[in-house]
Amino acid sequence: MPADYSKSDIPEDFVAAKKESSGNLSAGQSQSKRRFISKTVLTCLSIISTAEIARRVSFKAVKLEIENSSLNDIAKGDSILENRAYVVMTDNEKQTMITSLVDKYNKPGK
Amino acid sequence: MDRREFMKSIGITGAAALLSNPDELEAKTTWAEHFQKAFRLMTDDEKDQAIKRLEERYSEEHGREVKVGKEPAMDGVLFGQALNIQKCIGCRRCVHSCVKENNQSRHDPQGNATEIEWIRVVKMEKGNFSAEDRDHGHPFKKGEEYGISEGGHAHNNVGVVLEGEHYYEPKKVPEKDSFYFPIQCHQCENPPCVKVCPVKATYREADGVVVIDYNWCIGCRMCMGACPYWARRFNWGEPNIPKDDLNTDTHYLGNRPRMKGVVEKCHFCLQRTRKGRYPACVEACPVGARKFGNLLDPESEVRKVLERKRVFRLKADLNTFPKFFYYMD
Repeated sequence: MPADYSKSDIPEDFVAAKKESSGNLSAGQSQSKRRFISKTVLTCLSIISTAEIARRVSFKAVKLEIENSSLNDIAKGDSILENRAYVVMTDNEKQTMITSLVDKYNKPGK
Repeated sequence: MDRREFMKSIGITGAAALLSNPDELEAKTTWAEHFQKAFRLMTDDEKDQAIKRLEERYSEEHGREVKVGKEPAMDGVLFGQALNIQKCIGCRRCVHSCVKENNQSRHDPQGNATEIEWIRVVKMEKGNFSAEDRDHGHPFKKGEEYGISEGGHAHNNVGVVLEGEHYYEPKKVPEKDSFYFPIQCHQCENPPCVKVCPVKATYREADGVVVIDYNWCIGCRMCMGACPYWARRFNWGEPNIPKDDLNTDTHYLGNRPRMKGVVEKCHFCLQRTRKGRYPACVEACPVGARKFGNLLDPESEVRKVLERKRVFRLKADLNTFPKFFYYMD
């Protein structure tokens, strides 16, 4: 009589318990993987969003700084120019200046 | 693609993104440009290489073919300019033509760049002397004939100092009882800005023009503090030059696009004047108030002005010997 492999000597309740526990194990594993991935994605998202916020805030600060620095330059220039007097050159001064320009060009370093 | 490969690719992409330079313009600047010599110490070959690098970068950045010249100073030429303050109508066309010709930064509504103008026009009140009021003081009220300037006219601006209005916006120029005083780099013979530069990035060329090697400038702003005419400007932000407005005919020491953190100023339009053309401001002036020429040539317009007209100098006591003059007919 051929052996009946559909039946085994292992008790059915043991097999059922084993199946249940192995089923639980794979579900737990896949759950932890899912949790890990979701955590990774969330961490990435939070890092990216924090970096973007920081970038925007710093860009705004830099823009303000550019504008303020330029305005400071202009204001300083205004105050400096207000104190600049212009004076008429006498004929003698003009002649001396032209002579010195020509001389200096022709004999540099002297 | 399995999960592991997916995670790996995300990691690699992230790392690459973090390591790459987010500043596109800076990333395009080659190492060779960072480590190049000062322009005046370069050999001709080195100059050619530096110019080629710049031309390639500018053309790529601005989407147009940019030419960078290196024309040296011409022999027997010393540039000078004279401005007739009686003729100037304060229209600021010189300012606008200068901005366009010399690729100066335009205002950026996003706030990344500010407007830079090398020429500043100051509006001033005309001094009006009245012999009848000579003996009255200021303030003058009937019965209170005394004041802070008895016998004088201290309350009337006679135009001796540049105490004027820098930001006038009239509907029409010239305005009544006003005259205009454009100020720009005076190309001093004895330039204080050159003396203070710690890296010798700014220097006087043989034709008398004070230039800046933008690649050598460290942006310390010492020259700005030293300039008695406040003629130098600093690029606080990355300059904003609209593609269509870019002047592609440039000079290494002149109007080539500048970078953030360097100083710039008027250079008598080197890219034009060294090819025998007038500076843009001289060409743009609708009333011919500006005269430009060779100070060594007795027949030049500027020499004739110096010989025949009433000439003024700004802050003469500083002994800077400017080559930019003001005159009256």
